[in-house]
Amino acid sequence: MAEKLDVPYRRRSSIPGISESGDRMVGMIVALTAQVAAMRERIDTLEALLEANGTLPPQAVELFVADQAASIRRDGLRADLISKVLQPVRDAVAREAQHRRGSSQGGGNV
Amino acid sequence: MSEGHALLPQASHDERAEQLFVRDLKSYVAATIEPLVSTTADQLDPGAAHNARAEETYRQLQQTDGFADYLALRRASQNLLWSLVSHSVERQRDALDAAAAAVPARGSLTLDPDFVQPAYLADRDVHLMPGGYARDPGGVAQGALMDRGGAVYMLGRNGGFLNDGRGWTLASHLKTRWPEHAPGRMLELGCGIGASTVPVALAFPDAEVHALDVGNSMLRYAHARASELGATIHFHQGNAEATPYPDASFDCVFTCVVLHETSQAAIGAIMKECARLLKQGGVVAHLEVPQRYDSIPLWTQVRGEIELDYNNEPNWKTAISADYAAHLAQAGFIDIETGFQDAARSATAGDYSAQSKGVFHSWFVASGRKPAS
Repeated sequence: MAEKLDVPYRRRSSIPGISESGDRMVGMIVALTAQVAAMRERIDTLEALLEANGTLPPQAVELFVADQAASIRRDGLRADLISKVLQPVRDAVAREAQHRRGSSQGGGNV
Repeated sequence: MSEGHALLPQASHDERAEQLFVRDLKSYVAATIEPLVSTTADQLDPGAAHNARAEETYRQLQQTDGFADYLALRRASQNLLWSLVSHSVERQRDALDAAAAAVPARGSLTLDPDFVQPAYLADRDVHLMPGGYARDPGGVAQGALMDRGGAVYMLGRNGGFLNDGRGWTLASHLKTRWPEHAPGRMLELGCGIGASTVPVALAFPDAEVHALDVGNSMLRYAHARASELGATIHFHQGNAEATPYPDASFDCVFTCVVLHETSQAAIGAIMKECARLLKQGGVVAHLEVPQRYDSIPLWTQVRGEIELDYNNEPNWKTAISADYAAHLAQAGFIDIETGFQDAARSATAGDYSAQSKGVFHSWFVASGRKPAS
């Protein structure tokens, strides 16, 4: 099988003042933002095509108001997204709280 | 309709959006973040009397949080560029190999199975391009990666998807300095995927044009690409410091932004090799980035340190500090001039003067002639 093109490049210098994990985090954030940008552009393309085909009147998306059922569904989607994205923070504070509670009760590590 | 030329890897809807995102991210880092870091650099400037002014400023900057964030973001954007383009090329790899094989070949391709790349390329991937110039993952993939990635990297400022602005500028320089010179045989050292070789070959249709570089995959792609674009070029794998061609076999030898990707020793060696390869009266021309170390702002000098450490440019500072007139004279050339050639889009004579008009508006060119006897 042919060698994959996307391999780690050679000679990566460390950046003073930023941890390796912090550096990786920056890399992941810009990669994620690229995916968000591509997704946003795809939605824009879909809207343009739907408008051009007459399926969607101009401004239909802007004028759309979610009904109660849609609002509830969206609230759920949003809450789910927030909880998934912020899970590492939630876990960290949960461990910290557990640890402190354990310490005050003479418990061990979490 | 394909972008650039028929062999250029094409982007799907989402891949195009990703690549435009990288282009705009890099523009944002350069236009919005970098001036702020530059302001901090000015505040940390130890003064013109300091004997290592840029290095000291760089050292001081490294103590600041904002600079670390800037470096991380700058490198991440470059890393992302290659990652996204790699995935796009990977998707169409078989089709690109088939398309390259289907192009009626012009010129020739000569690979060297025993070739060993120079040490200054062996320990790093220049511009962070995965695998570097010499990698051979099979077929034309590495060349395709370099072509598409290079076009995104240059942000469209060097001739769009053809990335041929430097080649036209070099041809324009030859027409400016030696309008009567009609080279029979020409050679480009460090041709890459032939982005500059093609316009030179098209500008001198009567010349037999040769081009040399280090990578098998890159050269397979360059050969097919040049054929597709209607340029007849003979590609060879080899080291620019010690090429496989006989003495006095060319009328013109040139490089385009190659010297800053070599080493201090290699610059001298390449100058001597050019003298060996040229016939009496032959012309040598080296086109380089337009920054000259002594005349650039402090921040641009500091950025040279960054290019070395975080973009794997092996020889940036040496190349922009080098005394090319002295190098050429030492190699035996005469009629030497150094200056800035206006960026060109055709092979017509243009302005060649002592003052740079700025990045992408003019290119530094050092040229001369081998004595007639």
